[in-house]
Amino acid sequence: MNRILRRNVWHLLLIPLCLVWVYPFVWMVSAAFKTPKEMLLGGLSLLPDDATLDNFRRAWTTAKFSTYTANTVTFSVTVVVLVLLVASAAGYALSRPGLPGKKILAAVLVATMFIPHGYTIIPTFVLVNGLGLGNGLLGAALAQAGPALVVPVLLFMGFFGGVPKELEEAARMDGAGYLRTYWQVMLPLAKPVIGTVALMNFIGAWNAFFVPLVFTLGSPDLRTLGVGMYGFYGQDTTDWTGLAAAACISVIPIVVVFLFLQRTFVEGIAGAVKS
Amino acid sequence: MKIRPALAVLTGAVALALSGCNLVGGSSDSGAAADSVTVTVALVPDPPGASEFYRQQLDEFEKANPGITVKVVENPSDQQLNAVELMFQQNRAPDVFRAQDDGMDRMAARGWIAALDEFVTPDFLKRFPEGTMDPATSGLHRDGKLMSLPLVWGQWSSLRVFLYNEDLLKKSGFDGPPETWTELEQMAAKVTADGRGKYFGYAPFSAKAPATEMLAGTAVPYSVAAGGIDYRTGKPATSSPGLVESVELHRRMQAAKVMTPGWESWDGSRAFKEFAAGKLAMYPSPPWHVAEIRKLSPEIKLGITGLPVPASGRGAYLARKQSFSPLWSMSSQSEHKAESWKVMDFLSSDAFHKAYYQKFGTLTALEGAWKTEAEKNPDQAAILKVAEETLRRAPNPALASKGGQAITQALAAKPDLKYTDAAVSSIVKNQPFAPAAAKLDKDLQAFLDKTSAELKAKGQEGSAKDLTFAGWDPLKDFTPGG
Repeated sequence: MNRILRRNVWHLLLIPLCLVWVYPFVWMVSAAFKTPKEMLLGGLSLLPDDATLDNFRRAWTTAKFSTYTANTVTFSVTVVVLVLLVASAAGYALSRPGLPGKKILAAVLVATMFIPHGYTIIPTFVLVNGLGLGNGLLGAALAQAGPALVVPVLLFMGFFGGVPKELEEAARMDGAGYLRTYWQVMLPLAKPVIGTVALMNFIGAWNAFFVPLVFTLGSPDLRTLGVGMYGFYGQDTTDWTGLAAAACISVIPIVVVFLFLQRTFVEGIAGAVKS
Repeated sequence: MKIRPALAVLTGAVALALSGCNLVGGSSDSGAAADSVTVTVALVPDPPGASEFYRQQLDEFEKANPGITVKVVENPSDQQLNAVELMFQQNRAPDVFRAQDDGMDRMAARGWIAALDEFVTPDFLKRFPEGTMDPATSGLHRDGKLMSLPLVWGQWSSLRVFLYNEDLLKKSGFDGPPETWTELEQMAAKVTADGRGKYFGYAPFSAKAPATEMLAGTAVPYSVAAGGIDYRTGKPATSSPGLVESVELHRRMQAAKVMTPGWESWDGSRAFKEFAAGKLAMYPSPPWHVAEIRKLSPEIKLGITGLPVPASGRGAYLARKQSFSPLWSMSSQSEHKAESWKVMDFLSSDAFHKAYYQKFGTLTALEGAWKTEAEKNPDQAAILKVAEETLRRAPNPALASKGGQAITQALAAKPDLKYTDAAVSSIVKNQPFAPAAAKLDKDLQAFLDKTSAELKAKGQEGSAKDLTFAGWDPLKDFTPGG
């Protein structure tokens, strides 16, 4: 009895905390359905008196969030593909025993984690422009994927390092070369890590701001959702209800993706930690 | 062994790329007809609703000009200049772009702005109020050449008004707004006391306390209130009694808890929200707040008047430094200058300005497009009256000489020499402002001396002399060269 009472007391204490935690998000969704007047003067109430879809219409068509959503999908998928291909291959190579300079390479990789994006953005921009990729999202995706590789490489490295040597030797006995062993034997085993890395980087790319901002500054048609948000800020005033609707458009797909893939994500992290 | 997820993702990415989702980029003008010239216009979708408005207007333009397609590139206000600069650097410059005030100078300094004189006709100039397109005072000319066209009314950016809630003042027994700073202090204290935390008598508009500058502009020459230099002498004057007293007035009200708590973190639009919600009784403001208050609270009893002046009497009028603020410029790299001019001509047409006024209620550069209608609108009529009563033409070193331009630009690049932070600190920490002002004056003088010497060493003009207009009386209209 005492235990039940104690648990209920904890619930009573934690439920208000939980409401405080989710309130801003719920308020954002609610604001997306309000008129500017109600949003600015209506206080903290969550239910709109005069619900409207006009904010979504404005965000989707006038503020071009339809284009930005397509751009964000392209950008995020490209980042994920780049990260998966490069990180898994690098992780596999670095996990092999006897690779000369392996420790130095890993140390350099880890060291690069501590360099803020701001310091490297100009050379990255110049490099991508020099490659002739300045007018498309591939250039921005390359810039985003580069620094994002370190943790995935380490995850793949840890995972492949834990795979028994015998498996690889068996593949070699069956006539598979280095690349084939990696592609057809090792990579399919790494599904949990692939899932984790894909999800982490998809979320990261979806929410990315700095790199897409810099790379789309001169090409507004390439903007992603995060950058497109800025369009609601005027010189003197801000279209707050349009911004709230745009935020809903931006955040709902990523929440859905996360809900679908959360099991993979948790398993992947747990697997990576165990290995 | 199958690797379905990786293949699916790869297939998805390829499909996205092939479906034209901007992965590797393509021709930006692919939508334009082969026999049509595309003019790219980089603008700011401001105020809210401007995106649709511009598109509708430019669609009308395209109908009237079948050979021209207008491609609109929108950038948020904060990013516009950087974005346009980047477009120039990537050789994809827009033909027409929005660059205001310092931004226009920044673009012009890089040689990216085309002079418009070859396109301008006497009929075009006649659209603007008489005398406003004089190169010496227009604000649109540099070195005698027309470099930009305006959008809003020339006096809009210089004007400051005092807004008050008639109902809240009446509740405290006041029939009208304060006319002096002393009355303001007394009335604000009474209203705040009567409000008992539900509403407050006064707040300084935003976190940087520009209200100190606005009120000081009725006591000391605008140049003192804006940048700490007295253009009558060319010398630092942050410690002028009028400016110091404006800060002290706010310090006293803050110490007495008269001002709305939390104003220290307000952005530029918070004051009108507080006012529209009936939580703020009075504040000095730029005129655009009036329309925002009306949008949020059409029924509020909003009074609009001139700023209160020192009890000892007015020491200065608000300054009209130039007839217009620059806004639309043409790229010097445009390959379609004639067509670009047609777009600019349209953006400066009576029809466009009338439509802009009707859509946003903004008073535009072509007075003929709105004056009759504005005089019938009580809010706008009040704004026009305040402008008439409180604005006077003032000297502008940046327009007067190259040296003036150089030295004002150098000063603008040193915001730490402006008194704003020291003033806010004094108000918030309840410390006297005079010592900080005296130190700023010394720092300003040192900076002026150093900058003059550096300019001289480079063989350029620019000294305190270029900031000196000895005959200027801030209570009268200034005549350049007069």
